[in-house]
Amino acid sequence: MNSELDQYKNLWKQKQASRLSPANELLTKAGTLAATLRKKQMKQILIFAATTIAIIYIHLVSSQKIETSQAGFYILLGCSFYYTSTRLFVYMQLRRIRLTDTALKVLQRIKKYNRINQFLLTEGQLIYVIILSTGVYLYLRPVIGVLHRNLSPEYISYVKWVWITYILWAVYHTFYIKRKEARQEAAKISNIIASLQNNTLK
Amino acid sequence: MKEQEIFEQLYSEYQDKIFRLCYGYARNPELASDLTQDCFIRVWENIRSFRNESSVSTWIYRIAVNNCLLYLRKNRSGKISFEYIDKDIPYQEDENANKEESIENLYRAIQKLQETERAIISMVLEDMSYKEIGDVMGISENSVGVKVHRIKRTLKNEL
Repeated sequence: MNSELDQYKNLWKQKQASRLSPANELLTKAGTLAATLRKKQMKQILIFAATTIAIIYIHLVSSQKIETSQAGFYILLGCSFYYTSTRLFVYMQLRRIRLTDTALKVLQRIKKYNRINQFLLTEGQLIYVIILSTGVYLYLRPVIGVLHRNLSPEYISYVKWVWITYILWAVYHTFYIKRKEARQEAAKISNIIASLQNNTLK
Repeated sequence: MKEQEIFEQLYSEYQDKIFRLCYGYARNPELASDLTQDCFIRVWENIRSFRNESSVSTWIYRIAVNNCLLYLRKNRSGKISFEYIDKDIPYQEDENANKEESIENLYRAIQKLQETERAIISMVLEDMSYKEIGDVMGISENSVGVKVHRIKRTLKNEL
């Protein structure tokens, strides 16, 4: 079997790298990627700051003109904070996966990261949408009340059906499509870990 | 020596080895090149954190193997495009063509192995010791031995 291995080694080593950029081009690319990442993080923080300022500004202006809900206002602020903090948390978890660790450790970290990320993308996302919708509803209740009085019953019924359809679709998407994808990915990582830890000779 | 010089030295010394590892995963020259370059970008990003706790080759191979495994994770289906298979073997009725075909057959057989087995056999074929392979994968030397035995048997059946 060793002579076969030597033969494989001989064949294997004949493959040469092709289409690779020179080292200095790679370093430029690495610099660009790092700058893009920094911009992305900065954008996230700026979006949070801008959203918070916008919510507070709208509240200050609209609360003088219409009767607004304080609870709705705080829910909207909370949602904005939750969205940014979960994004940052997921990013920090991803940063903890260090490629210089052993493959087994990296796979175990990916598995843990996937669990957190998948919860946030499925159940977490649905809860977030429900709370955000409640916040918007509470905040705009006086306006919705006026609209409600001025619109025809057919139109209101139409809006309600659209809303119900959206909620049903969100539940289906969260609990079926996303979960299915999450299960497939988790199974794939678990299989790779199991194959790495399996020492039996077939 | 400056970091950039160290990087350039590592790049010239390891680019073929890492390309072969990536090609064993992808069997698509363009994708293998992308994976190789991505791996060296990670090497550059982490070059300051290298503390001589492990050998340079172990350190680079850890980055390369993890990079390939992360690629497989992103590519949810886990399947790699087969469009290049058989296309990149120029038809020539001579010894070179036969040799080229044998090389492609070997890579094809390796690509059929499980994800972690591909990494292990790639390192065996680059003459790394079982101890070094164990350090890259996070398993014992004995486990590497068992897996290599299994892989050799699979390859023998395939080729």
